[in-house]
Amino acid sequence: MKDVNNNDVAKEIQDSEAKKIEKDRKKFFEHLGHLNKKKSVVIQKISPIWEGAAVPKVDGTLYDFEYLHLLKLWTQYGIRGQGVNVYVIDSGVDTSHPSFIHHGSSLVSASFLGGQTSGVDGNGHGTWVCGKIGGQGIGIAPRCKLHSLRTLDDAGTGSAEFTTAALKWVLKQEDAHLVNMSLGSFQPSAEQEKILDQLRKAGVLVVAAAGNANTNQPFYPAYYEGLLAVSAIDRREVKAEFSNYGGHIDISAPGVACYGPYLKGTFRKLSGTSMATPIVTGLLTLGLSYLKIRHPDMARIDLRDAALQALLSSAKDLGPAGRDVFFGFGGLNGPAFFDLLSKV
Amino acid sequence: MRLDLLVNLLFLGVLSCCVKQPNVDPAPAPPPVDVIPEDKPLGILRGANVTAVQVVPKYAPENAVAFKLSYNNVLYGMFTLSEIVYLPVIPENEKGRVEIYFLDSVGDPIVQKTYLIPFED
Repeated sequence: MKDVNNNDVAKEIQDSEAKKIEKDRKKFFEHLGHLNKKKSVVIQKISPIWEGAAVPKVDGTLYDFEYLHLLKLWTQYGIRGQGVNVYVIDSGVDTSHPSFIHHGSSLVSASFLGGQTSGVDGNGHGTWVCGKIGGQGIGIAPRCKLHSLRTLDDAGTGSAEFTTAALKWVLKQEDAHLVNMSLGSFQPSAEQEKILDQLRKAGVLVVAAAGNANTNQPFYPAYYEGLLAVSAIDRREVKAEFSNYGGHIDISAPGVACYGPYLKGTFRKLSGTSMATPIVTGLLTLGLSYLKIRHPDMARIDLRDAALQALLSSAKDLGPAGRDVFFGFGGLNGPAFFDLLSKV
Repeated sequence: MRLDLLVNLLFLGVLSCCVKQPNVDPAPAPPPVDVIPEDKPLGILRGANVTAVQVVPKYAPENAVAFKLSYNNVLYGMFTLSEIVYLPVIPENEKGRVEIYFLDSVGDPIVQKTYLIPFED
């Protein structure tokens, strides 16, 4: 009878899991360029789940910050997102909210809705998303340069044409690093997919929400290859009951009762993959900022690839071992992400 | 007209047709911040559109690196010690309650301080 050493068996399993995860990662990068031809459709914001208005309780209110160990990242690495351009395609932004005053006139909200429409948010969704990325006090990367591109009206609806026009605008910006898309539709758009592929080739990373229907039915743009699809978890790191899932999910982030700015100077706790997505974008903004400071001559596409590789490699494995349909590579891990970036 | 110039103009024309030009709304500029009074724990400046608040460093605990601030029970977020916090307009004579939760370098709370404004001399 063969003598079996438990440590060897454990190591063998560990090595096997590591190989599987590495294979999944390689597959992900190989798939960055795949395309499917589809037709154009109506795009909607992903409706958040309301959790009430002003929140008096302070402890645990910013649990997403605690989840990322944000203060440690800010102080240990001295970065707040400076030097990184983030484009948010949503319902615009309420630039008069106190969370955005520090941006001054550098924060611009542009409308792609056509006619004489304003870039100012009348819905609240875009203000929340922009605030979680670059708001002061409430945002993960408050010193980033935010660009709000309004493609959703006050009711939170728009069309694939508006969103595609905004993506084309981003494609023209040579300093664009990240695009946040907390919106989508169950129907694909071939033109939008084509522009997204061009953005990928240009070195821009698009982060998209998985959707809130608790289904594995394809939801676009998150379902397209070559962008980062985000699912939502709660503070216990359990899949949010509303979060869409499937083989296209890349990463998961807090998306239940997250606190952020809303219309007319207020704040709200909202739930949804729309909320998880800017948390991923915010962390990536910090990472790119850090890389840019350390490697000022690094090309945009190399910055993107290094940050993406570090983000996925550092993810905290949740659920079944390796990449899975609910959490992708796992939950965000701020300190491990920066540890990997420091070795680039 | 030179042919190459005509070609360029046509090309620019095609580009401007293809890329939709957005309507743009810039944000308001932040107000200037005055010198912080040395005898008060908070520097407060009331602007036309916003109120700026800054923690006076000597009133912060020694090992504090950041704080969470709430005004009248609304949390405005987490800030590093030197940051200016912008709040909505607070009229000169409006009474308000500022709560500050000082945090250490890993984000653990050190002490909570509550200030009622306006400060009484």
